[in-house]
Amino acid sequence: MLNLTREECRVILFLMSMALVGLGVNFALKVNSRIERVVKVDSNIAKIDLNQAKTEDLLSLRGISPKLAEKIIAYRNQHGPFRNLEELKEIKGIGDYRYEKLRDLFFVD
Amino acid sequence: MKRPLVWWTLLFCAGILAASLIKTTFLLAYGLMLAALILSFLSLRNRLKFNIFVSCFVFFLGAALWKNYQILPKCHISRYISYKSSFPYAIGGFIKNDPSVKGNKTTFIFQAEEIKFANLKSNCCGDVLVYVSSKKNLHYAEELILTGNLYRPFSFGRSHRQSYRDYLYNQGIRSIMHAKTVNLVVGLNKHRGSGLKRLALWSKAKMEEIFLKYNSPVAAGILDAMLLGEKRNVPVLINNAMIKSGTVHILVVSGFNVGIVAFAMVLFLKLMRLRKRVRFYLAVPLLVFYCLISGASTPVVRATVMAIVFMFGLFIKREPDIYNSLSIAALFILGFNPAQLFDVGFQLSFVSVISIVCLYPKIKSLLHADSLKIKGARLLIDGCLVSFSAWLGTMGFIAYYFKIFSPITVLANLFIVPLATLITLSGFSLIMIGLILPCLAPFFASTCELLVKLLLNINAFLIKLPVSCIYLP
Repeated sequence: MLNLTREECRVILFLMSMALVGLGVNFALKVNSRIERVVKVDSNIAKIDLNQAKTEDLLSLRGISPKLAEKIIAYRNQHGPFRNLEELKEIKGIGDYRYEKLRDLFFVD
Repeated sequence: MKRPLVWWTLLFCAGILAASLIKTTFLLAYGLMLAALILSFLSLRNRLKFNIFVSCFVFFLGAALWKNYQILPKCHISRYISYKSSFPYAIGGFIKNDPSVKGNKTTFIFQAEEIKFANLKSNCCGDVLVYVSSKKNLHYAEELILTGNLYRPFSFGRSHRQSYRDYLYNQGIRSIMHAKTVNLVVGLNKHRGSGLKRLALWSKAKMEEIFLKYNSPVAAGILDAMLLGEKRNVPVLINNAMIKSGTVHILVVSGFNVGIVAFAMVLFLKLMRLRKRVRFYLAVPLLVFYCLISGASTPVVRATVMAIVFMFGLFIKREPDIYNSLSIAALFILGFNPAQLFDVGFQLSFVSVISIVCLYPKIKSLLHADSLKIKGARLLIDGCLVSFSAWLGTMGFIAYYFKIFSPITVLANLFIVPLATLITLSGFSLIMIGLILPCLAPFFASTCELLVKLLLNINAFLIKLPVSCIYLP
């Protein structure tokens, strides 16, 4: 037998009610939590359009030297816009290995 | 019944245990809770009925809390993990603890807030254990975007024993990420989390610097583990030797360390001639701060809550009761995370204290230890009996979980514990002197060094004794 006074009983009842409500709210929040802001991210969002890129855009990318940037611009001026990324391989200085590194940085619209 | 809190704590634990064993739903437990509450209201005038319904409420509260803990929100990160896909996941969020660097690996707990995979980006929640396979200078509360493989923890343990997955689940971690390359972690230089915890971790780093500056790496590592709860610099050989002798508990910040800190703190404040009220107001935040510095592990939280309840009892001039303070500590920890009931650390921490409190006085009166007239002999016997009581209580758990039986533990603790107390006190003195009078710090550091060497040599001698440690099948 727990020797509780009337005041203690009331305090206990208050705490019990608090615990009940708190737990209920926590459960409701969990159950009603929703997956928000599901958006389709454009895969090209962080990439640069190869046909619009200026020299400074190209230089901002890792792995592109000023010389290579000049060559890309010169190729575009000479042959017109790039039709696909594979065309990069035709530039002197871009082999298969470098192409693999660069392909994730560009897109062709 | 003199201690209603003890009774309710037992019922609360029984509720958690029952809910983990019986297949039931949260709503059923919640409905029963509600019924018990209404009946308690109605039977306010009849004490017996009131007590019964309150007890029922506490039992169902434990069960409902456990069921609620197991329900994961719809946006929980573990729900996004696909078994068959191997695409990399990118998660955004912040670091939730102090990252640990060991060898060439950085590990931390990450609170995820955003996830991106297969061109989809959405909000998420939940903790992720992150491994980065390189040394990274990361800090608590730093906001990051991580990219790597995300998976659920595997269970390699035998079905009837606790596995690593169970351990992680008990800590609230349900997913692991391996961020393999350095480039994949991008710091955004924003800070989140609690400012107090950041301050605690900054203080910890400063204290570690003092240890490393004035001590040898081994002594600094041991001081770091004993005082600040950081075990990463303790050599594996020393750790294993301490496990064999059953004294590894001194290498982590446990209730024992918090007790020493609380005692030293109160003594220091008393020496400053501060009034009781002021001492209490200063000691409580300092203890909480120390709890944060040492990583707020279960034994530390347990000991901190117990110390605060104890001091509060003295403060309001009520007789402090160890059973009540132990119950409050248990309710506090289980209220936050009911899965801690199944955690080895929680069980060992509480069982050792309960066995010391229950068994020690009984064994003492059985052996008539008080009748000894020589004070030194009485103290020695007391130390032996405390160590023996803790060993007796935890022996079964250690044999079950770790498959090890160390008969040398009682003897080892008899020598190691007083030394550990001295090391803890001298370590704190070194920190104080290192901050106030750095010119005197090398002398204090020499004392620490000597004590650590003594501790290691005694431990090495003890484990060489025949049948000091038996590995169970």
